[in-house]
Amino acid sequence: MPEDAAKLMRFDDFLDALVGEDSGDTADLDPELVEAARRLHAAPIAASANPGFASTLRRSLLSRMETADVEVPAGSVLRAALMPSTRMRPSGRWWPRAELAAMVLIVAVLVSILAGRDGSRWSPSGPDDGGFVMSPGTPAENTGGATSTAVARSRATEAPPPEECDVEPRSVESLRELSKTLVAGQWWDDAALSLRAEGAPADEVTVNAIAATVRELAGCINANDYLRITALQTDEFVKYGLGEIRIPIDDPEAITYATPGPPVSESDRVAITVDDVEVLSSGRARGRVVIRGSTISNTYVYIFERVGDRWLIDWVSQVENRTPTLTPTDATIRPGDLVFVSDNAVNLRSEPSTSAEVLQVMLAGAPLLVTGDVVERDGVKWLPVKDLTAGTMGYIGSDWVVPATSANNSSATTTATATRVPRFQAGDAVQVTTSGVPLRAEPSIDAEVLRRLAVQTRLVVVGPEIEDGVLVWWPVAVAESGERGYVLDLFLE
Amino acid sequence: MLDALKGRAVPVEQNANAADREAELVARARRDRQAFGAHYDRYLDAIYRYCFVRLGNREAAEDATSLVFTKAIDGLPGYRGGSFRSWLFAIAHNVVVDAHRAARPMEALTAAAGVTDPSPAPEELALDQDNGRAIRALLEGLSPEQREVVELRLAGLTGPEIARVLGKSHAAVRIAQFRGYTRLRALVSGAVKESDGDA
Repeated sequence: MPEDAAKLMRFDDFLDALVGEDSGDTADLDPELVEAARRLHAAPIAASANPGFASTLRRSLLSRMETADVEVPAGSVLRAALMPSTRMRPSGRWWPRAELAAMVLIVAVLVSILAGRDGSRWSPSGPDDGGFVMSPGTPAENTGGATSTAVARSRATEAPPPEECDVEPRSVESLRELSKTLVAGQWWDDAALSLRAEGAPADEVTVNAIAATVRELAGCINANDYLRITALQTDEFVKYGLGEIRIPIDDPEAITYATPGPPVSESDRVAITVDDVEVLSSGRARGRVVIRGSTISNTYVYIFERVGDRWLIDWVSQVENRTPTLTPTDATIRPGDLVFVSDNAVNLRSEPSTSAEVLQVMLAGAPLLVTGDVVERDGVKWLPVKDLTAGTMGYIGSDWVVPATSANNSSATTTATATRVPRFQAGDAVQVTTSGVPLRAEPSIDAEVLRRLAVQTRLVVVGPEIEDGVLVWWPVAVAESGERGYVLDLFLE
Repeated sequence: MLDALKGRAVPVEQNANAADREAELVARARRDRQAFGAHYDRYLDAIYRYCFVRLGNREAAEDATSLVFTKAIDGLPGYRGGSFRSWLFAIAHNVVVDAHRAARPMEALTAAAGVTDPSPAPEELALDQDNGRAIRALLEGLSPEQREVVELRLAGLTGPEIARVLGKSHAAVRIAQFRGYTRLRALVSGAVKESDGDA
């Protein structure tokens, strides 16, 4: 072997340290070679992935992953995943697919029905929400005074029969064409923004037109007619639905066999109502939608877009048990607070603006440190934050975070803390799980970074853990150098 | 073996634990979108840059990156532990090799026409340092084996990880990388480009 084995190993060690962002031991190595390697690794070799590409690919992959192991006969996919019927039960392997697609309008209906079905027959409930139902009948029926409103309210809670679904259906071919392109990135941003943007109360004509759309939607669901349901949705929302639940669009028979299926039985029909309709500055509209079926009543926020002469559904967000109006949480958030991302695919931006560069797409549950005061811009309240996982600094809409120490979860936090057993004890040998982990002078996210540790750097725990809110720190010493500091528990193993 | 002789391969148990933990995390990623999303966020840029360096343009790099992660999802059930990064880069390596193989007829035509010279001109080196073209041009001066190793190093992999990705011994990786970096230093300093072969 032409090269000295020891020299090769030292150079290998040096490079290992270099890729771990450490200085590395360069003793006995050629200084020029060391310097060349350092310069090579410090120089930009290629740009990062385009943020639009990154977020689109991410969504596509997560969708693929969610459904990759679902084995459902192709011809039954549509019927099973989309159509509310007495045949469907949350059993077998396709059920996780339906849960996933709960964000999609039609599947939301399915979940609503299945979640509440207990074998009893459905009796349409009355307007028991005290002013909750807002005249969702046809425009002609809702232009009058109290009497017509009462009629409309009564009609609203009735499940419309299949005959009320008469929108021109989309063709199988048009769905196939839509499935060939990805959802536009701008649509995601617009949809997310629409959920929290300021709105003005819609006029009566708009309210009635939107109410007509959701009523026809209920009629189409009761008709078990998927192609007509998609005709009440925007192209982008249809594409989203196709991508999320992976309809076997390449198999035309899958759709033609599946829809329209036999209308659902009268006892299984759903009623859909809408209220709190607001018009947004983007021209879209937002409303609170309640889907009633069987023994349950589920609430959603719908975004509508006017296409041609009618309002189509552009996005659905399940409200679950929260209040329908998304309440800003920033009132209780202060600089230095720990917060968590409350939803998936939330953008962390370089500036407090919806047009600023997307630095990172955050997933629900990601921990963030609030680094400053709220900034209001573009109708959005932005929080300057630091992503505690990747270290990225940026801005995130305050509606998309929840405080870690809010009253709602304080008891859970306390319980978790009380029952948690420390992972390590003084004297344990541990190692760093990822590159660039900061070794800090004090057990605080604001403390000075003494150095950044390479992956698999060996450390020794030198004392008990220190809790800092929901964060846990360990006092450690670097095995090789003896340098001491503090490292977050989540970066150790 | 060499590591053990040198006295630094003590944490066998730790490494085993780390591998177990990573296997557990990947197992979680098979059924948890958020868990896989975290892996994706962590490795996307590294994989993309690696593909970009190997393939030379954004479109090809994006296609390859998409393919890598798609294959990763499809292959998750077959992941049997060990370094997830190694496993992912092994997929990337194979994807890039396949892409090169598919593009070979076009490359042959281009070379035959004499329209490209992979050697960077000195002024190019000076002008292009900001966007990485200079470094990528320099890499053209390495043997294929050296280049594979150096590119994986630049992607942030450790020596043992590179060995796993390429299916070689760690010792072979050490030799190739030493020669590769040595040659790069010579190229940067304008030394004569001589073929130095590989072990």
